[in-house]
Amino acid sequence: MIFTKILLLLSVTLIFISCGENTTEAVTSDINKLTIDPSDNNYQVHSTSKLELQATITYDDGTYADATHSVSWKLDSDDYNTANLLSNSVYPIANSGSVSVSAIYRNLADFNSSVDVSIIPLTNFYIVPIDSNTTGEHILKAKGNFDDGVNDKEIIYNIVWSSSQEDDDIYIENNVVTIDLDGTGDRTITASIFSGEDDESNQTITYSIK
Amino acid sequence: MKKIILFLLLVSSLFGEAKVYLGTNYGSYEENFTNSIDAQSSTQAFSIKAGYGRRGAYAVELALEYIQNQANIFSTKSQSDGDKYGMNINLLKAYDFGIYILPYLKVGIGAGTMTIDRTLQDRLYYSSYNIGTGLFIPINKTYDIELGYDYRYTTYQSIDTIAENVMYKSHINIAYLGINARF
Repeated sequence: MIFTKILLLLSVTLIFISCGENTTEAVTSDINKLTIDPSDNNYQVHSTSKLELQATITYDDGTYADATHSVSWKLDSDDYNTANLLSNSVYPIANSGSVSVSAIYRNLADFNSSVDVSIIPLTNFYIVPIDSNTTGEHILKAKGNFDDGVNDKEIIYNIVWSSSQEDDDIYIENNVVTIDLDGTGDRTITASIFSGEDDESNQTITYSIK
Repeated sequence: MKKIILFLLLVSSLFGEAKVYLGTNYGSYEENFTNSIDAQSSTQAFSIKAGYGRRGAYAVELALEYIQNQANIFSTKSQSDGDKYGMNINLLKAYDFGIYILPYLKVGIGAGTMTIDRTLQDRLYYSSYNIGTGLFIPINKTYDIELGYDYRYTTYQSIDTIAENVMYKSHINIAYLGINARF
């Protein structure tokens, strides 16, 4: 008798559990394509700046997500004399040219996107003069004019500062020049752009403070 | 050394008069994914098992499992998740209250795999923590019928979406009927 009751109880339980529904659509949309954004392939970077690229994965349902840090970034092997690539950032090391950058996931050919990045040349540059009425420490900056008409843009990369009077009233650390304007005497600072290049892009100017 | 001897004595007492047993289970399977997604699977589960222990005391049980899959939760290309093939290892404790039937409790772990059809993955693995309860209903000294219920907390291998790896977890309920032969 008890056996019959238990069997009946289990049968009811089985029927109850079996009545559940089955999901028929995948809960996670599949990947569709990998792109480097924006996808108009019109990338430009000033020769003394850097360009950060972004990778986007688009799914079958039309949604998309940032995949910048999930993909591998690669620079075409012919372009190592023109720019460096650190993660998703392009750093020009020449004053002109273009490089091809790829974003690829697990070396899958279907998930490989490439863009050409062109470098906008610097035409000339200058050291921003220090106000003669300023006192105390002052960070020296350089700005440049570029081939695309952009002027007075601060120069961040590909500039080397030097001074024969370093450790006096001039401190250069991590390529940042700090001048103590409370000092006395003539001080001279030199800035060189693309100093490793053997062409007209290699420019040097000198700035003096009395 | 004393501890080892005591442990061996304990184990030998737990499995005193132990027998090997073979059996099979057939049951109803329901799976509900945790609240990150609204998905469920309802189907049948079949397993064959081999155990070592006493009908009214402790036993260790290894079960190979087949779960027919009627849902599609992961596949995007062919719209069909494959059937699941798994393995479970459980430690079982039965109680003989002298009332003819022998209730039991069990705990264990499991793992399995299934085929899926996605751009980056064609197979998915899963693992689970298992607890269960049920009854042995002796037919004679050799055979018994088993009625049981298993709960499993399952974790699936991550789904690769490039931007992130999405890991799903689920609650599984299985009610089953089985038969065992003890030698």
